[in-house]
Amino acid sequence: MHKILFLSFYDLLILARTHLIAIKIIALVICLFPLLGYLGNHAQKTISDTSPSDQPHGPTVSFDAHCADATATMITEHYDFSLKDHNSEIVAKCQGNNITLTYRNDTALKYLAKKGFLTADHPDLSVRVNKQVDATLTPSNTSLVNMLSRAYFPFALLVFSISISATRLLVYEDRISLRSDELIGSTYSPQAYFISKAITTAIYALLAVFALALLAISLASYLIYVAYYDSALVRESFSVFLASSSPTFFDIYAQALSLVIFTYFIPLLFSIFCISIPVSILLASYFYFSPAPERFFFYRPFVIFLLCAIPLISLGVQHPEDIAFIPFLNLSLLLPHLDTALAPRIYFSNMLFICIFIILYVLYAAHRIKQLQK
Amino acid sequence: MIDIKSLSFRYTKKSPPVLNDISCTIPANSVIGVLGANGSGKTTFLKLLCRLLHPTSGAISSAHSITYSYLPSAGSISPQLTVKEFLTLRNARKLSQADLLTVEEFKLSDLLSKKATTLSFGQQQRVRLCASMLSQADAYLLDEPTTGLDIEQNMIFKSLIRNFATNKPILLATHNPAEILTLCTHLLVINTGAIGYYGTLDGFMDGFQSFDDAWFSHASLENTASNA
Repeated sequence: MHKILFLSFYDLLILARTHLIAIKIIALVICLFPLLGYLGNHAQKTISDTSPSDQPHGPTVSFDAHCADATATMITEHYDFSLKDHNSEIVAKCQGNNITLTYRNDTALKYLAKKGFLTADHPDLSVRVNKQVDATLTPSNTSLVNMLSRAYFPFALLVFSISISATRLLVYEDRISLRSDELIGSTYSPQAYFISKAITTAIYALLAVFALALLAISLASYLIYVAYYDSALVRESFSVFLASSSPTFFDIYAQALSLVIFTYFIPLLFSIFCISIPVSILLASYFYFSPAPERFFFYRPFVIFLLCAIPLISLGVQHPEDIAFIPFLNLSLLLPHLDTALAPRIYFSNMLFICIFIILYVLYAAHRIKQLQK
Repeated sequence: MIDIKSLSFRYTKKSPPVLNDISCTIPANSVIGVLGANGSGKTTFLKLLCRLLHPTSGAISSAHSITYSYLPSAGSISPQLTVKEFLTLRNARKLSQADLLTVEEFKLSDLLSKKATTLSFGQQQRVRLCASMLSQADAYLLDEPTTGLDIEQNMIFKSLIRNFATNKPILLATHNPAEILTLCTHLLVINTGAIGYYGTLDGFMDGFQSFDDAWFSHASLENTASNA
């Protein structure tokens, strides 16, 4: 009996250590995001520092809640732009779910036209701006497409870390080390091996139940977040915080962390438990019971490629802050793959796909930056 | 003492037999060199002894229950474990002071806290050998154990084998004549699944100046017998 417990213990030890790779990467991302958030919001601080008298006091225009999604996206983009440019004659304010644009004079209208708000494509909006119709705007992030687009970025991040760990623990490590002839032939019987695997599986099943509970919480939180919060609101509160007090570095860090939790981490949890882990375990299980589990390493890049192409497909509904993910995506791509234990051929195929991803994301980033600079 | 009677094995019902009608008695206090060409069935024979494989027919018996320590020719240490953890896992007990002395003999004391991924192939082989020696088994089944060992480690291994061989049978699958001459008391030559020679080393070498002469002489006798 003690041999079975021994084997189970080491089995779990190996699994835990395998998971450490993913934990380290996630920890790295969590630690670096606040800093990124701080840097990303540095521009917001400049406009928040301007006194109220400097703000334009023109007529207030709010946009209709029921305008087309494309229009709503443009408004959001414009909102981000105006915050970064304190000389702009347009100021956006976000109250609850409503975005209000305030402009000073006709120059502002010209600016709106330049930004594409007043075009023939959106005659309704054009009329409403000119007539200063007071209406409300419902952020478009309640749409399913937008929700998914937000979830896919952290999802892609996790595919690189969690899935690789999960597949390793089920396929690579297990098959080559603990299930070796050396152990079963001399110290442990095949029966002891299977019992220990049952124990390990049971423990992991308990963890899975815990994960499901977390999933329910994170899913609920995410839905609440999608329904009631707009990332712009969160970011604005952050900039106000920076302007209204003399924050220490730790204050900024704490505030940025809360920003990250609302904007990124809840969708991250959602994608971990809903998509990444089940997909990984399903794939790994399939290859574990296949005659040649090592073949998984050949298929893995293709799977990752497909999964990570989805964020690019949803490009049209992304927010400008998505650019922040790009370095982390690349980093998370690279770290788990830098494994010298892999055969050169597999290593090469992995690196090839990493290069393709990097190129795609760089192109995407360039596209977004170009959009913002218009 | 281990009795092997009419041992035969085939991997599937339709495949040809890997071992065919092997019968021999393995005495305690012996080092038996298991010889044969590649694919002759040496590894299969060792796996049958430690019950990793089950014989198609025949039986392996002993006066009392025997525990084996099996060292495959191609094994690996989990890259997630340190040397100390692997030794502990391999033997399912904490390392005692006596164990640590053996670890010292294998010059592994400095490597105890290192993970397998940081070790060279030769060092990993030393760790596996050491783990096998620590196992306190009743019989040792070593499949090409000195692969990757340097000269010094080879010598250490031979001296350790001699110490262990005082009261336990050791079956040593090898292709190295020097190992056979310095370590083995008996030889089991497997020729395409059947016993080509089984007996003492002295009997094998009787009338021959070198191992090579004896080997080729026995091989030619076997060929003559099989042709007849």
